[in-house]
Amino acid sequence: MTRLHHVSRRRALAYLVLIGVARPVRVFAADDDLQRLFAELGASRERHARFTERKFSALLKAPAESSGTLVFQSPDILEKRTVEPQRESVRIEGSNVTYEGAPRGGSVQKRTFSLADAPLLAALIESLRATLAGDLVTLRRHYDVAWSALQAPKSWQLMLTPRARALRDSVSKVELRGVAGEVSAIEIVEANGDLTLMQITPMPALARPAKK
Amino acid sequence: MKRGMARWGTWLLGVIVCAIVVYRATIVTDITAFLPGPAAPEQALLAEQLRDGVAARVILIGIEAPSAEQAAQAAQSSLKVAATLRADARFAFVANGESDSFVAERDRLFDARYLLSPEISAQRFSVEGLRAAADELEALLRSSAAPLIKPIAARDPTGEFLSIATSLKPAASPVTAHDVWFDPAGRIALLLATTRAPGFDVDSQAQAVAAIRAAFAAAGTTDALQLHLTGPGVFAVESRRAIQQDAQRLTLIATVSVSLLLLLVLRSPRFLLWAALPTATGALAGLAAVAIAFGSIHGITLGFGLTLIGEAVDYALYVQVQRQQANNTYLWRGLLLAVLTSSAGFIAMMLSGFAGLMQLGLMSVIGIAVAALVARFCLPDVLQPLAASRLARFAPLSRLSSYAPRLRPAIMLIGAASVGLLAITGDRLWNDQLAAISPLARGSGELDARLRSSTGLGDLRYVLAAEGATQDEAIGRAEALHDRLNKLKLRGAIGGFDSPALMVPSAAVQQARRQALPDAGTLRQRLTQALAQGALRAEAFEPFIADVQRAREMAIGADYYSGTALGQRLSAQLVARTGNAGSSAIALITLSAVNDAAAVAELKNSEGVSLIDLTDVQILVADYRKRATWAAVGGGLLIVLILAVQLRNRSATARIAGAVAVSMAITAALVVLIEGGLTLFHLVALLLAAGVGTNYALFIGMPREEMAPRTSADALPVTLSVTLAAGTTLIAFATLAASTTPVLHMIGITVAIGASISLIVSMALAAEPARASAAA
Repeated sequence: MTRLHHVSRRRALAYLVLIGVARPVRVFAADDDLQRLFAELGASRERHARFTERKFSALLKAPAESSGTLVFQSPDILEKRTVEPQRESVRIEGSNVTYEGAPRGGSVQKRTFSLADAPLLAALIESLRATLAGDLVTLRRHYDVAWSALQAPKSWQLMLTPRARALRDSVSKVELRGVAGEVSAIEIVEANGDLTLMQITPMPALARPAKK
Repeated sequence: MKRGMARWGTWLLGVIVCAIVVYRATIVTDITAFLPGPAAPEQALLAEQLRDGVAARVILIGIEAPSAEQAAQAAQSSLKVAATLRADARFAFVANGESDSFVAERDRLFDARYLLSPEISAQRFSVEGLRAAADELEALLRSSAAPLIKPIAARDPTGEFLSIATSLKPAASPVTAHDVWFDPAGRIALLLATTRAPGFDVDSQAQAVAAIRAAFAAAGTTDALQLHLTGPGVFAVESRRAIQQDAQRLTLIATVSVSLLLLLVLRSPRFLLWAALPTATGALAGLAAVAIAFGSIHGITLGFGLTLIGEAVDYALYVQVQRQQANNTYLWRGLLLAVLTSSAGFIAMMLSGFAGLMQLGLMSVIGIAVAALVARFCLPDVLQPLAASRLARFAPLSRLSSYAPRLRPAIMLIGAASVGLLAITGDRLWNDQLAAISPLARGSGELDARLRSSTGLGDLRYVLAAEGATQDEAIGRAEALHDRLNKLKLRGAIGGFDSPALMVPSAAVQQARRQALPDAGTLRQRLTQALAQGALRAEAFEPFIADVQRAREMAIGADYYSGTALGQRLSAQLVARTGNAGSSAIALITLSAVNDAAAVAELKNSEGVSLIDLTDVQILVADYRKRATWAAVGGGLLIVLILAVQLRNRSATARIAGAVAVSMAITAALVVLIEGGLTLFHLVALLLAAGVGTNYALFIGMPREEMAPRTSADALPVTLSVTLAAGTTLIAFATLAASTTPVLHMIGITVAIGASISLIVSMALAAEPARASAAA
């Protein structure tokens, strides 16, 4: 009895926090609105953005920070180029991942592998890539998608819960926030409590590096 | 009539007993019984690998989508087919790249990482070693590769699992798309199925192939998908089917033509019906003898054995045409000699030491002996001798045969030239096509090459075998090669290697690695010290400390992996043998993408290590050649001996033996000229040709003491029966020679040539000079 009481109190607290932080107008939006949002997201064929990422992990004494640029080309190319603290890049095209960098401080190594070999990475990538592509079907293949509109004009929040049990064992949820057709933040909460936060700032076309 | 009853009663009883024995016998189709018996260890290993090796049991499956856009359907089909085959007991292991299928393997490797990783040393667990590992881990956790490392970082901060995965990773692996393996173009989904049955067990392979086709049909995603199958077992199944179809069609054609010829000549449908009796009874008895002596009948014995006792068909002809109302001593004596001389050849075959040829030899000896007995004792009861009037119509034939001796100088010349040709050809006489008996060595087409290169199975050709008295010693010897193999890999001499010692290190190595692991207290203290300065929290690595403690108590053997694909792989790589020198164990290391065979060959200098080239059937050929030659010489001498003892007539013996020798020399030379060399199948066919040829020479050349002076007309029944026998043989085997199936073609052409040459040569050389001069 006390245990149940305890649980419901915690849930109530969670709602309070949610309301306090996100202040949603409607917690459960109609599917039409979600479809409309994804149509808007899928409208841009190519996107460039800056990111800053902070990783909170039980393994680390202090959060690890990094920053760089993100490039997305519809429908399935996503490239993350980290500049600080060390240069490296991850390019995902279809289900093939090409990693280039020198995480161990030695010479630059290039490694290609399949997303199928790294299910955790695959799910995380798909959360962002499918959202950027406006591909709700693919996103729903990996996650249960909940949508809420935030108070600021046109701003929204997606809450993704992994569908596969194996994935839920490592990732509790992924949250994406954005305004209209742009994604501005992604937050990954792992089952062990580790947290990764990425802020995304779209780059105006002029600031982009020349193509090819 | 009473004696007749006794004869037919004995026949019936014999047929019933033999039929029961044959009916209960198992037919085996393992072709390696026809490979030479093991003389050198390499040969034994090669034969074993050809028969039982993984390479021989792998079936490559390709599911092709019409376009890359439809690849998802091929992937769907791949998943369904794999699921069906995994549930099928006939398959030991099915791989299609599915991520789920590797979970069990990954867990076992991960749990044993402190025994498996080549990086384990006391230094690695010192404060400095741990600090170096921590720095690397920290950099990785900060990088974009973090999601790959994080799930195991707390348990494996020193990255042992990564080094195991690197060493076990095949040199080339297929591309993955839609969660399954694909070819580089992304259109063909790839699967590997390993059968439990050996690759040369053609019946089991046929079942496996059928099971795969059924699974594909049941998966039925779309009609547009195409199924491709390849692999040694698949080739064996397909070539057997081709042979069977060809053989059935050609046998029908040959039977009809031969029957027409005999009907035309002898005008006796009754004869046609009864002519098959001796051969059929002989075949049944021969098979029964093989079943009793060897416990089972080989599929090839069944096929070739029937060919070899084909000379028994002639017995009915000899009995029908040569038999007279009164005195048949000459005929029966000739028949006895025919059986004795043919047996000599077959006994030589039995002494050759190849299990397969021993079966063939036994079947043939018993087969022709029984056929001769039936022809001698049963046929006269049901067949009337040929009417003299009918015989008289063939008088021109005897005139023709009387001209034959004039060909003597020409035939002697051709014979000498043939011997010369064979002598000059020497070792090249033996066609390398003997490799055709190994489907592994066969050039297997564009599709096979494509699927193989896509799956990274490309050139499964070289195997290093490390032998030891115990499994642990064998593993230790394999282990000792790792350093040199790694160097070869770095140099690019080999693409990679797959050693069982990577998965099950020797007891000594496991012990050394365990000793390098510190106890919990020491490790915790060192870790705290190592991490004091860095960004990692020492408290987060308790799982690592616990795992290291568990590893200190651990020891693994091959059974550690049982029930997983790795276990299956190991069981093929760790082989127990019982040889004449007691039992031993072998660890097999497969090498992939060998670019520098010479460098690889140097590895076999280590103790207990031998290198097997799975495509090198040459060493088997060399051995084969020696024994075959010996058998031929032995058989020839035995035939001369039998003739000398039985005929007690030096000149007749010389004439008959000479005729056979010259016939065979000319036949062999012609076959070499036409076919480019002799193979196993030519050899077997030559034996048959020698058998029928000896019979022709015998009947033509055997002196008949009671009838002097002889005329060519006296010899007419002999001439007619021998000519008919040669004619039917020529028709039957020339039909076979038209086959596109190499085996049938080889046998057909050899026997067709052999029978024709033997007839002409026998008439020219074997006939008694008295008769020849009488005609002149």
